[in-house]
Amino acid sequence: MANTQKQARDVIGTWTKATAAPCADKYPATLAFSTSTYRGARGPGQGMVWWDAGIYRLEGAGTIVIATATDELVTYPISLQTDQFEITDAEGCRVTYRRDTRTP
Amino acid sequence: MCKCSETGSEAGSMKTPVTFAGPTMKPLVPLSRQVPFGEDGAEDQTPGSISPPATITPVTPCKLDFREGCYQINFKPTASLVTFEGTLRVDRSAPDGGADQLIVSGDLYSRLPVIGPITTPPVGPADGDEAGEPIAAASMSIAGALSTVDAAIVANPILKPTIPIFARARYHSYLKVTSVSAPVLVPSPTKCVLTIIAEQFNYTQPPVGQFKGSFPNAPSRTVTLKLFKVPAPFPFSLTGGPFYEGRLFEGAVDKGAVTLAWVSKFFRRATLEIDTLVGAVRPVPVPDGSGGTDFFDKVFARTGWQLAVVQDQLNVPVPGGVVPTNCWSSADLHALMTAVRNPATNLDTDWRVHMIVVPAKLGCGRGVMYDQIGVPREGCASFSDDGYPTSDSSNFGLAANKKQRDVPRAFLRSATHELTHTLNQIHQEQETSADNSIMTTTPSVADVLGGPATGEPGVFPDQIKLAHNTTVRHHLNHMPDPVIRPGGWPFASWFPTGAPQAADRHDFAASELSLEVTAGEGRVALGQPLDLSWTMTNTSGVPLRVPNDISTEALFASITVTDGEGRERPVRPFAIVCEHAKIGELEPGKSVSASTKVFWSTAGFAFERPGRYRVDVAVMWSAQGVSVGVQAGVDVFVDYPSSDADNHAAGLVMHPDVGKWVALGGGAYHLGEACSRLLSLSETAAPARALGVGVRDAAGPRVLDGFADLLPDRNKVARLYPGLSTDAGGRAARTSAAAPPARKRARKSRARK
Repeated sequence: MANTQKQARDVIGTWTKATAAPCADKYPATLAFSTSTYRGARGPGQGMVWWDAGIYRLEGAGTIVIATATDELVTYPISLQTDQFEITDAEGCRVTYRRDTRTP
Repeated sequence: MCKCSETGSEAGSMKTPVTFAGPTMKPLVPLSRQVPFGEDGAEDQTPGSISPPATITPVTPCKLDFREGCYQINFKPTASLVTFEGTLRVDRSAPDGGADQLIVSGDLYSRLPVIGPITTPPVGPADGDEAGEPIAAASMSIAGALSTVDAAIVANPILKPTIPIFARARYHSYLKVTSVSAPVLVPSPTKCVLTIIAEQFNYTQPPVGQFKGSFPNAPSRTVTLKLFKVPAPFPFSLTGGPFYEGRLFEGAVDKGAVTLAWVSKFFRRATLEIDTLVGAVRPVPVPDGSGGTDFFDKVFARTGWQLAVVQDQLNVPVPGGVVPTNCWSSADLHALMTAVRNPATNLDTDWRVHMIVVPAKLGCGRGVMYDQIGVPREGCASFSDDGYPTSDSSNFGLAANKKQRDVPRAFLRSATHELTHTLNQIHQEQETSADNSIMTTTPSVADVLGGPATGEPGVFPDQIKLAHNTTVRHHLNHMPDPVIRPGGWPFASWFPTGAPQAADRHDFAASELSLEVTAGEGRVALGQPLDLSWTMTNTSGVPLRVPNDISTEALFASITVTDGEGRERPVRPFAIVCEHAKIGELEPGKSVSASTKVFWSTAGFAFERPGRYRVDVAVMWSAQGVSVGVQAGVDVFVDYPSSDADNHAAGLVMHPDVGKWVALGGGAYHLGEACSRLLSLSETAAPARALGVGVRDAAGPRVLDGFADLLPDRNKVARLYPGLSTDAGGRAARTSAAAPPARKRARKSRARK
């Protein structure tokens, strides 16, 4: 529990997508995680994103649960580091986000 | 990847003109927008006008009743067995409907021939409209056509008419009404004519087993309805509303008879069936603050829908293998829906949404539109024992850490949110901005209400607005039937690419800041990069704060290519170069420009195949926290290859490595495949000249025009890749070191449009 709480604090902040692969198109260009909620913002030229707004939580060492655009809670394996995290979705798409260090 | 922002100066805009641009993005479907209710003046008598004293023309005031609501529309093309029926929604209270608050939209369904009343065909030439090849015929004048006596088209007699619902497979077209007008006065005995002009978008049904059809980017045709109000025939006389009959024209050609019959004050209707699992509590009506109650039907009535709520089964047994007080999977919810909903559910006769209420627990998201399984959007779920943990928002007020069942107003809101998802509406954080409306997520609503700085201070849950915002209301009432109705288009499939992340985006007026987009050529060959440039000019009289770099690499500008079928493809920058980019002052009359070659990006080739395209450039930035911008575009035609040389050249260059070479501006010698293919391209003109063929063939394929300044240096390639074949097709190079230099075309000297 303590580890998950620490992880949750580690993910709080603003992140920018670093994956340009087409399979990652449905993930927002930027993500802002608060305590239990997140907001996703599209980048220029981007279509519908499936992480747009909702709740999230980290479960265990390598799992994140995110509410998607339909409010469905979807579980993703996550590799979380200080300034980068990577998730892999059900279709095998690996999406990497890097922390935006200019925002608190 | 850096994030460019308005750094450099935080003094704010010298001038930030704000123009409300309506919905901030354009769905990938036709959608009616505001229209003024015009007054035809050709036959008006202008009060106070000077007229010959010896003649006084009697006039008749026109008080046409074109009240708000749903009209059943019937269209019988002349000399056709196939007729059309549908609905026309006259929305006269649209907040985004302009000065007249008017938006009108319609949907037509084809109707197979039936044995019915024999109608007298109109006087005039036959017309093969809709039923096959058009029959060339002389046109009847509009006056003649309007004077023709026709039997009224009446639906099969039924009880009091209501909003009709037709089968999805019969859907034919969408009517985007662009003009509504009627005279104020007409000289007696002239009839008062209601004129409705609409763009008709013919629908292509989806392949068998799929649910998303398509609309064309441009209207299939424009039609004009000329209508007279007549006494409503039975059974429409039962509604108490107006009835119109008249003719439908395409240009000046009379296409057939049309009737409009008012059937309801609502625009659309649907049914909500609620089943509740044992242990769960379903949402209940809540006080509306005026002595009455609010419930699902009232919320939708405010939007303009007639929603019948069927509170069906209680104490539905828990399915085997499911723990009802855990979070539910979409599969389990879908299986439960199919097991418990009314077995007579027929989405072709009833827009029916199923809602299952289960307990779940805190942290499950309060509800879900789970149905992306099989037939889209048949059902949703609401979680009575989920709730409002303070971890989601610190602004839940008295609802903090309580279950939904204990906070009826918030529970009703979140359940209506899931219902509205089922009608294909999306979160407003993504479409517009977070607000106190149904389709904003619950934590965001609480935060909007959170305090004086959040825009709409109030208290959660008491001051939750149980209403859809203007954007969602517009979609629910005016998007085409297939997009909205349960069992129609998949969720969010109407959402366009390239739409801005709108947060109250405001577009500049052309008299303030203009954007001109020019293409090097209006027609390019397949495989030929398009030279595109755009110039943003301060046309106001004051300095404006705008981006100093509007190239796509600086991330303020985006390019979207739309093909003839309405499919959009972004053209993303291959490299991000934005550290220098900032918001700075642009003096009146001054401009900032950028250019690029539209060819390939990580989203693929911009012009995959021949045909017509639209290339749009949008420049957007934030001014004092408000998204502002300008947008413009050009039409481009990609030619079909007209020779073997053209075909061969297109095959050479339409390779991702060549795409990367172009995206990098050439000189990317690490891309060996690109080097090989482009060298082959440069050789395509040489053999023709050697054979002494005509000037056109000697000039080589047209694709070469777009690569004039991009071809690799032959000698450098030879050094880097000594064994490289110049023909990516596998043939050995025909020429040796005596190969002619890459042709330099006079690209830059071409006048830009």
